[in-house]
Amino acid sequence: MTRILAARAGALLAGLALASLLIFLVLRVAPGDAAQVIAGTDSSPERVAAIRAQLGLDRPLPVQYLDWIGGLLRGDLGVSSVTGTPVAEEIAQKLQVTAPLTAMALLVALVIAMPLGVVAALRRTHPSGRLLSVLAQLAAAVPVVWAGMLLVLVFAVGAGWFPVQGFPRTGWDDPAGALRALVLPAIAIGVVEGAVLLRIVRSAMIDAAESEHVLASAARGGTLLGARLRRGLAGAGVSVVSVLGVQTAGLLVGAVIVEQLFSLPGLGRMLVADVGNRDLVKVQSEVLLLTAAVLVIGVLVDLAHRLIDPRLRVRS
Amino acid sequence: MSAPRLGRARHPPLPRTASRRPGRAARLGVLGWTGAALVTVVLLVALVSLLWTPYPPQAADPYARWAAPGGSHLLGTDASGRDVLSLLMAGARTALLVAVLGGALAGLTGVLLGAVGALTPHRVRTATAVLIDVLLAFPTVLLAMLLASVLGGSLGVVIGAVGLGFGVTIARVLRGEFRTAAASDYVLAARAAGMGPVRILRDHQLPAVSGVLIVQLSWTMALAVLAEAGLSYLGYGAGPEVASWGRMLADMQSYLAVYPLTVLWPGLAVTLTGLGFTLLGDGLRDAGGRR
Repeated sequence: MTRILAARAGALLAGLALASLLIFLVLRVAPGDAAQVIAGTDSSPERVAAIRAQLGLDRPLPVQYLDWIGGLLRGDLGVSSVTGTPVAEEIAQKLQVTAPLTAMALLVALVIAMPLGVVAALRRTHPSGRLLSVLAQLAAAVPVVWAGMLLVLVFAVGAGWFPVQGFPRTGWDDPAGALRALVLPAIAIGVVEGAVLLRIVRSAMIDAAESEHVLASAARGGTLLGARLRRGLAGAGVSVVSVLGVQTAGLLVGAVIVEQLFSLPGLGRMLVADVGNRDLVKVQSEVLLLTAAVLVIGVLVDLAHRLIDPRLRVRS
Repeated sequence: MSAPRLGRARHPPLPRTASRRPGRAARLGVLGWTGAALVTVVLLVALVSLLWTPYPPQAADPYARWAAPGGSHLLGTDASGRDVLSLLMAGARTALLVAVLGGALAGLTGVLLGAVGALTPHRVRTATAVLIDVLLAFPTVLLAMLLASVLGGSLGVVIGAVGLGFGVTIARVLRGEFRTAAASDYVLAARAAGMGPVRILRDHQLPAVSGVLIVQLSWTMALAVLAEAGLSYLGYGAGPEVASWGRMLADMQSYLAVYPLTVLWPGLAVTLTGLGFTLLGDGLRDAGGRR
């Protein structure tokens, strides 16, 4: 296990280094001049040069890169070139919206996917099971933004149970208000991601239900259904955990879109604004942070997978 | 008298590996055919929209703002008096353009990265595998935002992000397929007969993975349609002069409570197109005997 931990940590560090390099290069080498954009199209070359110097964009690329990485290692994500506030501070503040939002969305996805996936698997030859898997395909093809709009129409405009948009100005000091503001956005992401998870639960359950140890377990007493549920759920749990890394990416992208739709002051909406402002320093730190989150969760998931699935331990 | 030629050039003509494309079309199944039908309808609508739409899609008629569905505007008009049906038809063009070009770029990226990650010497192979894993951690939408922050939003950015982002997913699948094919007896036989690596790739390994590639491409096109809608909604897609379902959703968002009907159509169009490509991919996979 220690060797695996060391190998995973090494791969994670290599991955982070590579990701940071890629982000940096895309932002610096791609055509387009951030200083020109900030200065405006009809500004004098002297003014553009001054802005470039102020942003540090006139230094050699390796110096810029190492400066950025050195700052990251000290916990300094740089200063926004538009507002002048430290990036780390803003990110910490926005996470108060985005972290609970994605956690709630994941919860919604699991609550949908686990029971319905089990039903779809157990009744897969029955019309109701088939209908469930077609519905899952349909829901997986729904754009998150549209799911959000339909939810707003029914539960905010129609029933008036939830706000159409916005987040309490006082944030989590108003816990009920904050929670209410996040319910519809979380469901919008969760339904779509849950439909994707449902198919994974279903096929894992089918795999387990068809294996011989289910028959053997039933033969030792108890019902076939009981054995299928016990074994199947164990298999489905393992499969769900193993795709959580990929799901994180989906949740984050969903968060970018629903934060825009519901005007929630989260990380995604900030990123959208920063991209619009060409705030290179912020964009590169934010994108690296999100990528790092996906990579780290991927490693944690992989380790958890090893802990709950004894077969992987034997093989290694 | 010339010396007898030895080596690679002299092997007898060898049969190429039969392409493992999913079998006869009849095996697509009901759902697969449903997907094919949905995709065909969208394709036809896009083609028709090139020649004819009820109104020019971008023609704003200030005297016909928010016209009710029915009458001279079958699905009504939007806030600036543009015909919703015409915008929807023209939007199919944009969605399919991104699906086809993004899909093609993703396929190319997938085959190249997959082949390099499977068939090159050990070190190059391992390095490529690490690269693929890191690139997988970049969500496609994030990649598009990264590109848009330098280049500004455009359809090109969407296509590039879709091609690279989803191409990496294809590469990971194809890497395994290429490795399986490389270990097969027919590749060994071809090598024994003196075939060069490029010809082996072209005549044996590409046909062997083509079935899996086609299924992946169909799924990628579904994701591309969804990504185009999401990115155009965020404002990173086509400019205002190009009709796009995602942009329609963004335009109609402010009037959601007042004119809820108009928001239904573009969302439904994205969903059905995405569903079409997904079901088609599922059908092709099942027809090819893979799960």
